[in-house]
Amino acid sequence: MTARMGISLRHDWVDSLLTTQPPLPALEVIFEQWVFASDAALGRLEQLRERYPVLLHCLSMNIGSSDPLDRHYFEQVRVFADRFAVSAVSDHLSWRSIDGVWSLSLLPLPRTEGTLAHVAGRLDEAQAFLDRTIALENISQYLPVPGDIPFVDMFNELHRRCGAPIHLDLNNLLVTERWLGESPGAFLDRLEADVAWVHVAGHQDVPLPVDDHSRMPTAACMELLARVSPSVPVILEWDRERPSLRELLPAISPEQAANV
Amino acid sequence: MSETELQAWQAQFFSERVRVPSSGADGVYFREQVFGALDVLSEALPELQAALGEPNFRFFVRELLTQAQPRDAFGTTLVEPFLRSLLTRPELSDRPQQLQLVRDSIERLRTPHACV
Repeated sequence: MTARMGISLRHDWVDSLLTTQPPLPALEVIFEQWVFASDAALGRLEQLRERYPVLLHCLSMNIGSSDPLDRHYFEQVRVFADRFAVSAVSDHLSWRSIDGVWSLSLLPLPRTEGTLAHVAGRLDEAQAFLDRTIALENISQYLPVPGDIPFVDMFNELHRRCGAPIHLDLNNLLVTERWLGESPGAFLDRLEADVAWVHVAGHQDVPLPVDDHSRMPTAACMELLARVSPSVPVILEWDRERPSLRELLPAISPEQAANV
Repeated sequence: MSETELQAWQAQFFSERVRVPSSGADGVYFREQVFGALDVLSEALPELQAALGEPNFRFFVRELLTQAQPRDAFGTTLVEPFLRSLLTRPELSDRPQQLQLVRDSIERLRTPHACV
């Protein structure tokens, strides 16, 4: 794969990382995985923070929802981000709740001017509260949504209005292409927003692809990555059928494998 | 949570394992959130797994929880009823230390650890 690739941290990799300290460029931490962690577990995360830059990825900012922003949630994010001196923060350009009932998934938004105005207002509020920019990830989309603004222009415009970079998920572009026929290449051609960091992952075809983070990134994913500036951090996500770190790192980079 | 609702949770808890949908549509991100909330159990988790006799405890719990609908950003509205159902499990009735850890965990759900 590539020596520039870091990993999205999962609990079962923590001890191995602490023991071997492979030369990963960065770790991504999912906020919701740590918010109820014990003191001991948070202590281990602090040890990792001393060794690796940390990118904080969130699932529940609910930026696109019409429910009020949850100040208590954002307060936790801010404290966590301060404590671990994270390099950047992201969530998704999506919504998860309506009238206080939460979905189990990240749901797509209409691609309309009304959506942009709605999200921009909430994003301004959230960024001011966190005192940080919030990168927005492109989610996998399985169904068409209303609106005629190109998906990439939603990110370009939110960057222009709010200064929010994109958290670019290349596998999500590939999954969306298979379901909706939208070209990842055209997305990258038209992308003007700054890129905070990149997600790569692999997926199953059952028979159409589902973004389940269950494989190494496909060749198509790595071809897209070659189009992204080498200065942008890259994070590998792996959830289903997760290998051990000892199995994973050689596949990412021989340099990293040598240290495990 | 009413007694009826609690019993419904308990009834699900040791029911037959739900197969992963072939579509994978339960959502990888939500699974990570559920696991994160379960980490409130902290070091008690392995002992609880052993006591309950479920070798694939985390997998099983995730399957259970994804059948319900959260009502908050942290997912505590899912996890707290689950923890309360543990307090009534006969497998744990003679393990006062573990039960106390579960009670402590329920308390900690009200104060996410990162803000301490």
